[in-house]
Amino acid sequence: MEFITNVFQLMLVDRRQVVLSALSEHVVISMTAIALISAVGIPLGILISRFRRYAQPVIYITGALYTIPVLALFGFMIPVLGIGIRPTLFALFIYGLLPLVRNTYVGITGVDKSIVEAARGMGSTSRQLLLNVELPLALPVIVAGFRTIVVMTISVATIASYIGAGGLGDLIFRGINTYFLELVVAGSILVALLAIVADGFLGLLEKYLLKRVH
Amino acid sequence: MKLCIILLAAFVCVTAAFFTGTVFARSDDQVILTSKPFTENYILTEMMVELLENDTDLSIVNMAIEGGTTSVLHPAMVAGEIDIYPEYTGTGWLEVLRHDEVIPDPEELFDRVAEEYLERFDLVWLPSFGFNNTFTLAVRQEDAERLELETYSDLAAVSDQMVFGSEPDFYEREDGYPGLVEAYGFEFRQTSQMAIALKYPAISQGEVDVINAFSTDGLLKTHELVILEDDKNYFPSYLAAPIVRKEILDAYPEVGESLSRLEWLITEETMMELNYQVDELRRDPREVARDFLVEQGLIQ
Repeated sequence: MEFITNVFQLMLVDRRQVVLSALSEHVVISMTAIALISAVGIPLGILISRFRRYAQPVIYITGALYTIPVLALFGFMIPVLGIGIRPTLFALFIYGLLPLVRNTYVGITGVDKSIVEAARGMGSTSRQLLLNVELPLALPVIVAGFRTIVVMTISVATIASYIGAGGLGDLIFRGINTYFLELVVAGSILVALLAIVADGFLGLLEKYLLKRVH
Repeated sequence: MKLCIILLAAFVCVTAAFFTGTVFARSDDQVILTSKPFTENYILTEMMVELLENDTDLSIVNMAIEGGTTSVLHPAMVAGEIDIYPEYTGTGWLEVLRHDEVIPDPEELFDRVAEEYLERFDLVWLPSFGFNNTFTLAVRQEDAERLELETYSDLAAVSDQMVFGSEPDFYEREDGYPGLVEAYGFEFRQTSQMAIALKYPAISQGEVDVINAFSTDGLLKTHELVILEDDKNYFPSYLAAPIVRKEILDAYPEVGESLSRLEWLITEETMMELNYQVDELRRDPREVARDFLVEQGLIQ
């Protein structure tokens, strides 16, 4: 019990400034990475659903990138991208790509064939087909992929601290390196909270979208 | 659907704009300090930050690089991504300059390292903080008494009963484990690697029996450990000093002036005490650094 109060004392009073700046850095890093992933991942998913012979290779490559351990990736990248925010974003980007590309692709290709045929029969152009039929029906699957990358990015961004990009990982690593367990726990709680809040918010969004689709 | 696309696009634009505006920009009058990821280095960097903020009008940034071993920080210095960090002469000599020649005199080692850094990397070693933080080996007091251990050679004789624990770094360094084993003929039963800060709990709880320690570690005194004597002088000296990019010193001479106020200010005992305040008393390294500077009359 005393331990828990110590943790909150640390978070809310003693090191409030440090905690706040780490939290805001974490949010900025994660949001930027998520924006980058979305900007590339969703179009790429749509593209490979149009040109299906590229689908398997693209998913295979993003899957292979997904399996590289984060720390090893930082190791490779230090000579090329240096330290700080750039290599961090690059790593988060590589990790987030697979779930979003795959879900976008699977969502679109999973739309009931008879619906697609019906839309074609009614004279839809392929642009209309995509925007008015396929994407709306695929939306729940795409949003599910988006939720995955949001939670994952927030949690993986902890390691950003390893190469100088800041964020809540600073608290965790600092705690480990100075024998300060409370600091480790404080950092971890905040990462978890951030992920839970973001996921909860997206859950609501998902419900709303589902209602509109059906 | 449209709403969704618009929202997403807006989100992308806003974060991208925010990001390029704030995060990538390295403003002109900025000096970036960092530390290697352990208590003593955190404290030394906080001291320099505190002093520079007090003495200069530059914008001083303390960048936390928690994976910042020498192998990461040195290239970052050379590339100009960071400007200042505290380093140790022995580490520079063996790990960065890759010499295996042994120079027993600490001052001579300092001069040789400083000279070569300047020549090869345009990096300046400012005068030392004043203490030598060498590697050492530590065992539990009870083992030392039971097995009558005083020197590394004593330890070598019984090493087949012992488990050795160290940070990953130590197994790879020039001045690390392989050379140590070669010099003394250690045959540890097992070796294990862990984060620097986990070594003390590990040896206290009997997970390992021997650890490599820093001679200024504040926790040596609280964990009832005994330091053994390096009777064949395997480890070189490790005088601690700030390394600064020459470009920074040329552009802002006040940086050099300010930092030179730390010259020969900290003894080994003092450093051990400061480390103890962070590791055992759990004080914030920044506060420990500030209090020390106030005590020394360097800042108000």
